[in-house]
Amino acid sequence: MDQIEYRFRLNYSKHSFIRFTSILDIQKIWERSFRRAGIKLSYSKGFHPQAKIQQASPLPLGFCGDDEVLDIWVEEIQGNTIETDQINSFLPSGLEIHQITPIDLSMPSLQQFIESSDYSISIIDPAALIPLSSLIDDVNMAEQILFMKHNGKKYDLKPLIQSICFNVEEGSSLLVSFSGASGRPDHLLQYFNLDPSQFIITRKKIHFTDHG
Amino acid sequence: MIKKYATPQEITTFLDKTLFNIKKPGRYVGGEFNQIIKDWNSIPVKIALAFPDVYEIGFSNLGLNILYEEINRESNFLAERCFSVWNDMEQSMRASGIPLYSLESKHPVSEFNVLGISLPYETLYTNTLNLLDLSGIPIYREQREETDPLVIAGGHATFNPAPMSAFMDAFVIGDGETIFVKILQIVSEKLSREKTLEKISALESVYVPSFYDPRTYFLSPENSRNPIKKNIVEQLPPAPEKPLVPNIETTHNRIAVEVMRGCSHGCRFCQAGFITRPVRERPLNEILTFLHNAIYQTGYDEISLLSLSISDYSAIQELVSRISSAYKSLNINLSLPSLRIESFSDELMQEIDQRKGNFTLAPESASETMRRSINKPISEDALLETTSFIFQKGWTSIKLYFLIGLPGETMDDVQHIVDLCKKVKAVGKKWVGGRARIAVSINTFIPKCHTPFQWAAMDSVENVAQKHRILREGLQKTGIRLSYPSIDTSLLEGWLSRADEAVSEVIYTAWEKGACFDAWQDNMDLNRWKEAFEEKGIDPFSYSHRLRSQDENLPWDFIDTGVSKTYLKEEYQKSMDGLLTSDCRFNCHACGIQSAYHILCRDLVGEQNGSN
Repeated sequence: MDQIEYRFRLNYSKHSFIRFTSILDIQKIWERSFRRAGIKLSYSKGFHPQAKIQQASPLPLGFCGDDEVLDIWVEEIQGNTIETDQINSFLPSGLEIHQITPIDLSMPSLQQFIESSDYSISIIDPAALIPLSSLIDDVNMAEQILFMKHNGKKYDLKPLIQSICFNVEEGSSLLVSFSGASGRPDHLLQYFNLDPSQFIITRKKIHFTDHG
Repeated sequence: MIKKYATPQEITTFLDKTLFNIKKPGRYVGGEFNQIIKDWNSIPVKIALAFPDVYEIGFSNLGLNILYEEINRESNFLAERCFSVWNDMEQSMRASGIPLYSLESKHPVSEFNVLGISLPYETLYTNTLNLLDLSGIPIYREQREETDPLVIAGGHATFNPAPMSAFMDAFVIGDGETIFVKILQIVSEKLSREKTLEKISALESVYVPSFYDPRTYFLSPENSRNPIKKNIVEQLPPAPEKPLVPNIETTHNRIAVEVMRGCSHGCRFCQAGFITRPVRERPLNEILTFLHNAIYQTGYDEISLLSLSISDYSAIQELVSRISSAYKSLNINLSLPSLRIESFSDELMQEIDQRKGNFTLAPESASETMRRSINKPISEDALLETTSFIFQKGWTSIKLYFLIGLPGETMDDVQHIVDLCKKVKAVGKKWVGGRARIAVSINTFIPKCHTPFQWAAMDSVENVAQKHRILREGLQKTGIRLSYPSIDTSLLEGWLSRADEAVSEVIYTAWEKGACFDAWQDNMDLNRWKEAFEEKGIDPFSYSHRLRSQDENLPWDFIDTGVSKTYLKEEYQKSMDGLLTSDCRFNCHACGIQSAYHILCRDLVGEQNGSN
């Protein structure tokens, strides 16, 4: 007989030094955290069963996230709900769940519904004279922003940028919106000869189409 | 220039601005689940626990984790951790003048009262010097000032403290539990450095080199001890209640529970077997309670039972089967270290997970003469029967460990290894066909202090090269995977493991020449060491390749492991005569440990100890 399964969507933040933990390691951290919290995840079938955890969009190493999204499949849950407090005390420092919503098992995977991603780019050392306003001008004036990735493939960032502006809520920081999930703020900085290590890059929000 | 001090805020800002460009940045940030952070300002005595290799390796050191929890349990003490940093991070730290810091509170190591360094093997010596330098702490103990931390080393390599004695303020010999807390109690008295060391030297099992004349080991002050008797805990203290859980992949990424300490087999090459006597078992119920707790404290999906010889555990069958029945349904796997070949049983094999790939066996030698010489008498028939059993049970991959370069070994003995491996491959082929994988790992024998072979000479470089050739040529085109350490790696270990005080300066010179991460084969450059020995006018081969007279005073003679020198001599003689010594569990051979510690070994295991 097939095991009864439940699916939940988690909105969480990733801040501080845990941003230097890679996506594969974060996957492991989630598995362990749920086990600590006594939540029994579902596993895939087969010779090497894997915990059923699905990130909407992997956050690159070194990036913070204010509102990341994760789906989990669970067996044996009491009362059909999970409270955030049930898990938060079992997370390593830097990770915090803000919301847990039960969702339908038949919902398609999140990845294909990402419409856009908002990032903030903040200067770590406010005393450093980094010309953010000229970056806005440079981006707006550029026809193409061709960036070569580690694998040698080039991609054009320009058509992915929906908007770039100063962040009115925080000084010394920019807000950039990319369509989809593939545009990377660190690539943008590098293209304009700025060292990404001098900034804290935070994905503020992932926007999904209505289906997601 | 490394600053001695920096504020945690300065260090945090440095990390924020640096780690984006550093490989494996998760090594340098801490923040793991179950990390303990105490209020820095309200705790009077602070110790930084260091493992002088990268985070992934150091994190997995069980001793460090035991001490971390034991010390932090005390309200007046605080323990935080630090590790060596890889080259890219070191360059950035030195360029910015940032000193080595603790992962928990990001305080510089130099601000702790004590720096405790784990030294399980000799190839960490240069890393240790680098760690001190990166902390802004003078490398030579004599140059340290009142405000510098006391630098104290422990671990298996410190059973010969001589080569590191110029750098360490003190050594803890033997089990680390209980003794570090005693040291910190003395430190909490806030006496002068000299007075503190004097009081520490009065503790049994602590060696303070500044109070000893290295040529004679004459005592000063009066309350120092000679010999230094290793520390033993008769009952294994409780395993850590809240083991740390790393945020990144580490060498041993699982729950580790020490099931047993010590080994009763007396394999003559094995230093761990002699220096960790007597055998102490952890009671079965204690292990099961620990595991039940640890799984929910850590969330790990794998359990590892640690012991030098796991199948000797009195209740191994019951332990494995109870773990298996309790946790298999939770997708939690059990892994065991290599099993002794004579210990296999059908029941035991049923419980072990097959998905983990390799099955590891350590016959060590393949000829009858060598088996008798090293006192590990496993017959060829027994080995082949066991491998057949393993393949029948569904494993497809077996890893075999052998030693070469043993005293008295001939080229024929090495050829026996080749022949035996081929036979194992044939057995595999019979049961699982082309899927059978055999990996053969060859280690070069390095005589170690406090073993019956402590007087023996290492095999010559030419002989070892010839033996490598025999193995390479013999196993080529067989599909058997062969690996062995470089001759350089073995030489360095041989030069350092039985070295004396004079080698301190060589270690320093080698480090100045850039030697670091010597345990990393790709990183080790023996030329630096050769030059360093030459500059100091010392022949390194006199430590590794010289047959010592049994009357010779050895640099580690003042360390008392409880096993008498007379016993070691008898065992050495028996090795040369091809005589075996049986498992001392069943027949005491009077090695000396019982009288040295006024104990009965049989009380520490089995029913008497509640282990079954």
